[in-house]
Amino acid sequence: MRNMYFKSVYRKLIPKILKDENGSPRLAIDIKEAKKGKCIECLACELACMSKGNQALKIVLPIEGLKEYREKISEGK
Amino acid sequence: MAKLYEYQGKQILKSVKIPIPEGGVAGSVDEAVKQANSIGYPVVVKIQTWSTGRNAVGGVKFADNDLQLKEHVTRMLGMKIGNFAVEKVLVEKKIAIKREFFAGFILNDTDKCPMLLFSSRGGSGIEEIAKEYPESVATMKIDFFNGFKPFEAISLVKKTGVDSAGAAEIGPVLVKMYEGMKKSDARSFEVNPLVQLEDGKIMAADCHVVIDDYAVYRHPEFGIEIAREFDRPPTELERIAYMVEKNDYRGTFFFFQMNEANEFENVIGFHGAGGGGSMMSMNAVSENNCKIANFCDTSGNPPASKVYRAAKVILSQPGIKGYFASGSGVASQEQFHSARGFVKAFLEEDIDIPCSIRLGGNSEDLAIEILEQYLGNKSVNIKGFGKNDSPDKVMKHLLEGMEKNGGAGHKLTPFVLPDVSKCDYSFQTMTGSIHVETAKCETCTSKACIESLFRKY
Repeated sequence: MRNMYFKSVYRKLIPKILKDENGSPRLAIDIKEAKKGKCIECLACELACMSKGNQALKIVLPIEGLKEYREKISEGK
Repeated sequence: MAKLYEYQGKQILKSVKIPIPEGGVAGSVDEAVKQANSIGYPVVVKIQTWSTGRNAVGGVKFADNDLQLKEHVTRMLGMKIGNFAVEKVLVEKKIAIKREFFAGFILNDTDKCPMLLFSSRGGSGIEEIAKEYPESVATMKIDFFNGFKPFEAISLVKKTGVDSAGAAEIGPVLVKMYEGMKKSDARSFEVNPLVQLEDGKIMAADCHVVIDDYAVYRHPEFGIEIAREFDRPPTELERIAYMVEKNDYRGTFFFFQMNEANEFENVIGFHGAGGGGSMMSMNAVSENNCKIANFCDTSGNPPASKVYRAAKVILSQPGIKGYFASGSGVASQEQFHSARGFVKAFLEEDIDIPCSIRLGGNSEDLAIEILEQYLGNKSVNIKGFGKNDSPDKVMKHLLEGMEKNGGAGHKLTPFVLPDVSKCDYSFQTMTGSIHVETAKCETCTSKACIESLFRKY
């Protein structure tokens, strides 16, 4: 019970990153704050949308140089 | 801990006015001859590597003329010391040594202060010398705020049996070394041998400097590509991995490729979390007759995005036959973050090898459920494990999966970012971006994305 209480309090303290606005998700925090790291890139929204939603939300996480590296390895260079 | 070459360490010594032999670095035979002619023969030529014991492998030679020098340098350039290919040599004036000492400063993690180790018997095999002649070794913990004073240095040197005149020469050099250590943000600053010349002067004949990883950014002059302890220049994939770490301070991501594993039959991708747990897990790998293609560690509460990138880097190694993730059994970080990182990476890669993922620690049940939910229907064995599952048990599960998969290796796929061309709403995050195709959201009744962090979905 005590554990559940703390969990619920803890969850209340977590900032809401997304909010529902006219039926679609919108950023609930300042756009600059999101960029600075308030959106912690937990990937939960993308997976939730994938399993329970309409696969409308996508997260792009570039990795510098990996595309070229894989091309080179695939070509046997 | 990034190591410096001897010639770089000597530049630091020179900058704090510690005498070093005349000479310079050379990357070709012609450059070496030019250096030798500018300082005059006889010279000593030394390979520049990050390892010790160069003399034993023929990496230190004397030359009395151009012919001898050319012969040595031709042989040395291109030498392989372990995984390290020699690309540079240091050419220095040969010095007349009367006596050798050892002087080294290290950061003492136990006492959280710099510590000086001085021995009146220097040269190679210092560890054995210290065992055989303990009376010739003295140590001193240095109070960082009070600093290190010449009288303290002289007093320490005298404790090792050096006479007053000698101690008076050596003491100020040790104080300058301490300045060099602070100036370069070194974790280890060693001069071995510190020599007394025939004329009585003190000179640094060799040095070994290791820079604190977290201070490397303050020293672009050292040209350190990756602020980690390497015994060879980094591979291209290690450079890519390091850029991920460099651009994201949240948690840590370490990636190192084990080149010697490539020829082995049972090679797997390894993804640890936390040093101790990772070592324990690697024991399970070797005890089950497998080799790791790489060592990887994501710990210190990394975001899911960092774990995702680590997994994508590991899966950039074609031929690995399994993916073994296992670290600390009782991690305090929320393990569902790591689970989501794995899920996104494995789904994007359409994972074709078995994966055993041990996510012991906080919220491990949710982490395991997430893995099961998104990856449970894959044709290859993918399973999450918790703290009550030993690394050995998890490793055995991986072996079963590898057998079931016919020992097939991972096939490399092109790295493709998600197509967001139809998305009409987006925002930037710290290292990426989130995109929404709002037209699709109109018919969504769950709105699961809004409160998804602690939910299973």
